[in-house]
Amino acid sequence: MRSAFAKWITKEAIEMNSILVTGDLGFGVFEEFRKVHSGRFINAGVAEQSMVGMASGLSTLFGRVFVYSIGNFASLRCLEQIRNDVAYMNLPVTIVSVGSGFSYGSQGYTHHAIEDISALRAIPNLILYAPADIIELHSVLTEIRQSDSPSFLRLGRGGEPKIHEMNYDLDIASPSALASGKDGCIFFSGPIGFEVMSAQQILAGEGIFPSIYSCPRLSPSYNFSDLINVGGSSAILVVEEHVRSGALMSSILESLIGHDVNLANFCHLAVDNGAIHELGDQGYLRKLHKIDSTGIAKEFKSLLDKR
Amino acid sequence: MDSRILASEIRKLVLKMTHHSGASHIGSCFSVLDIVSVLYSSNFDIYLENWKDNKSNRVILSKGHAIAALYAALATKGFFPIGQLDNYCKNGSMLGGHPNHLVPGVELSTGSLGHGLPYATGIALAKKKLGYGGQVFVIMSDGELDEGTTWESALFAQHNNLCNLTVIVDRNFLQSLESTESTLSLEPLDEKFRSFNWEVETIDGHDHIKLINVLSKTQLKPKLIIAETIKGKGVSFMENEVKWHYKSPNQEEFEKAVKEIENMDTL
Repeated sequence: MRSAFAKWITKEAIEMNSILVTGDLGFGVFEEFRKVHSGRFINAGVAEQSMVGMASGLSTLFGRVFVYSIGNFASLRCLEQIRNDVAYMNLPVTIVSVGSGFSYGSQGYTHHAIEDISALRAIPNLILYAPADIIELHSVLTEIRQSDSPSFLRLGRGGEPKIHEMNYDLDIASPSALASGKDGCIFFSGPIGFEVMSAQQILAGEGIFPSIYSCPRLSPSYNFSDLINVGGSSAILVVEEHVRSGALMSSILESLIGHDVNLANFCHLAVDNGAIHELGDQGYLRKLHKIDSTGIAKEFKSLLDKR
Repeated sequence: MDSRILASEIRKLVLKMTHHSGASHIGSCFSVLDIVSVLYSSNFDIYLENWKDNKSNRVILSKGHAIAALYAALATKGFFPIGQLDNYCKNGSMLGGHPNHLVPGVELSTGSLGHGLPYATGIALAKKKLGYGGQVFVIMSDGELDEGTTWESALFAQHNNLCNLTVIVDRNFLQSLESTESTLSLEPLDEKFRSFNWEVETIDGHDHIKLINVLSKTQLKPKLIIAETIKGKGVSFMENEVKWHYKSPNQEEFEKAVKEIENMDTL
């Protein structure tokens, strides 16, 4: 997805009067941008906090400013700058964070971006996007181009398989339906969608057909009460490459307050604290935390069996 | 408006604001007051009509806890009705104990230290790239220099040759608990910034003529002005006392302070 972002910003930079700021990252990603728009490229150095403040100042005279860095460096490291200088000031700045979840799994805990959503969801004014593939990314970027709001774009590391059929006009104003089935629902957000769609194949082989929804926007939250069978008994599985607290599951439950919902129908697959010292590639860590396709299929079957 | 007349007005207003609201930071306000007065005097052309213009001079109060001085200056200059100062730090007021960008004249909501300078480097770089004139002035406290963003931005400003950026450090040598030198020593401060390839000048931060002269000079590099000041300046029992970082003057102290500032001469 980062290559698709780089291609898009190279095409749109002049029309949007944009500046691209990087925290000394993006090797092999922005060469074309630098060639075409040398005056619009700023390497702020390894200084994420002042980089975000500086980008906010830049945006008061330019159009949208994009700030690019990796996972926690673009979120937790500069969280107060995002809160005060970008979001509270309500400026047209987009933080682009690559390497969501366990994308940089083998680099160790410092590189596991698994708490960023909960921190960022709490910040007013900030629109938080986590596209699953380049189709969702293009819809997100179209929305960003038309917006004046601050935003945060949580991307995978690159090479995420497409899970949507080619459709550049995907509506992201509500969760995006990838499958419509009779056996409950699975919700996810971001590149973990590939594991969910692989789990769908496993489940289909066993005659199980859940509805599947991707949630490319995490803040402001979608209203899930129309999608979840309120008052009914459908099984609901929520899958995320993030710690349990504060992310997609929280956003779903918050939107259901005041509705007749039986929480016994819900199950949550997310990163558990127990294995935080483990490292390995993304596939290894997803499997370890049971958020790989096999783990997802197994958990969904178990949820159906329990009921 | 002449800076000395403005300073005299602001001093009275700040004293009233902190007394009536029971709010803190009067020592910091009196410390920075002459710097604020000079920047908002007619010498630097910042008015309600032009403060948002791309070509205008910009002022960012990074030491946000001294906001009473800035709000008093803005109200005196007609950015908002002066009567609103009566609501300073009161429930439901627009004017709180730290700057809010929703108040006319305030560039950035500050209060967490170390945010003003990075933001200012962005404005200065944008002005430079777009060919706009106007200087970007940042008012920082000396304790604030402890923040890592100061030094990140010091590197960034010299690397991008931001000669339209001027930082004025309110150098009163006192921070929250004790002196700056007992906390995290800053000296030799001028040499530190010179080694970062900044221009540096040290002046008396209460001398208006010197402030006007140094702030009006053309720069070839980003510039640090070490404005040596006295925390609590103008009120004998507040001067150089850490407790006036926090305390609000009671009725007796207020009346005593009023008499002292009425007899004050500004350079």
